[in-house]
Amino acid sequence: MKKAWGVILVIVFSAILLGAVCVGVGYITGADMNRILSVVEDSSLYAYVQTLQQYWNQAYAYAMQLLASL
Amino acid sequence: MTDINKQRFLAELAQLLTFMYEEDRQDALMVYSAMFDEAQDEQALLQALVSPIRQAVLVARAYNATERKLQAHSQSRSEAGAPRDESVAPDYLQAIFAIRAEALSKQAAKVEAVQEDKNQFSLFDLAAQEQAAGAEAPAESAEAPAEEAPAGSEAEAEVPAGSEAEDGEAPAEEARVDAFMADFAIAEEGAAPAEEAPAGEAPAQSSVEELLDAAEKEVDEQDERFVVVVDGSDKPVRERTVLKPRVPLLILYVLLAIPVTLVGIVLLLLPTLASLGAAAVLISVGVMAVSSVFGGFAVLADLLVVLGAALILLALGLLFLWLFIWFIGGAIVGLIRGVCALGRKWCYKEVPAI
Repeated sequence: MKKAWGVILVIVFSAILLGAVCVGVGYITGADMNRILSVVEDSSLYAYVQTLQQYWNQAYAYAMQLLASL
Repeated sequence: MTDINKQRFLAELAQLLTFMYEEDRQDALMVYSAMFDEAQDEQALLQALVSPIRQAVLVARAYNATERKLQAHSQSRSEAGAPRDESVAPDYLQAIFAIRAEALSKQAAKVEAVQEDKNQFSLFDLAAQEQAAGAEAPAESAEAPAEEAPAGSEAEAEVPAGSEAEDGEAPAEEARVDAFMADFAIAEEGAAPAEEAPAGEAPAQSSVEELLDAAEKEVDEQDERFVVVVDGSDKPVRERTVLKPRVPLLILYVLLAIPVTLVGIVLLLLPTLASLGAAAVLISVGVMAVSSVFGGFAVLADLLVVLGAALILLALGLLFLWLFIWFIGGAIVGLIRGVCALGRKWCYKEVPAI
């Protein structure tokens, strides 16, 4: 189990580091957040995130009602 | 019988030392063989050495295959015939020399104790002396002295005719039987390990670790199953034990442990399910972000930013997925095992087996 933890953490930190480098290089070379959002809003990703947000709000409201009833 | 024990010990030791280089193995076996030759009481030496596995473990701990390879290359052949200097010998040989010194010192102490016992007067000693005197008389009358007869397996072939007298016949028979047994032991057991070990083959370091693991595991298993009881004699007596439940305590423990364990499982299920949900969301969003990268972005800088964000999301998703697996397989199973182990510790006691 300890060895698996080591392997997983190495993979995760490597991917996070690589992602951070990509984001940094993108911003340095002239990325624009408004342009990115306009493209994302037209794609299916935006609709998917909206749906997830809706489900999360419903689940949160249900959990609060459950806690209040206790 | 003593020859058979010596041969068996050396044969088993030779099989266990196959992880060593062939030359080193032969050196080690020669030292052990010399140890037996020097020993006054072979059984006492065998008891001091305990077992071939123990000796193999001691040698393996002191043996460094990589270092020995370098030394073997640098060592000239002329030095091989020179008398061995124990102070500059390799580590494994020094370890064997230390074992030899310890075993021989123990044995010397034991022999002294036996000598003191023999100094006491006994009627059996008188009878034995009379028998010995009767056996010497015909041997002295023969033409060739009995001392010229070679020891070992050829003893019976060159025994003088005069020694076949009635009194001298019994020792000659014993010598013949011992010689036959010695020859039999060498032919059956001594040849086997030499054939199995290929000469000059480089040993794997992993075999040393396997040997150590196997020996330690065997010792651990024996320690778990047996309790050593010393009853005043030299040899410890091993007694088998069994676990006997304390029934009232066990019932009480089960009644308390089940609800506590259930509460613990429920509490652990909350972060488990939360980890699973987070992992599902992060991985799905990351995958969709990667797929959208190759769809609508025309500027490379924008593409890099989205790709970097997707990588970070996927990495976090992997972390939460592993947390879910760890909660299920590690934390919850560990909780149940811990409760069972605690119950075994508190509610059972070890008693000698009937």
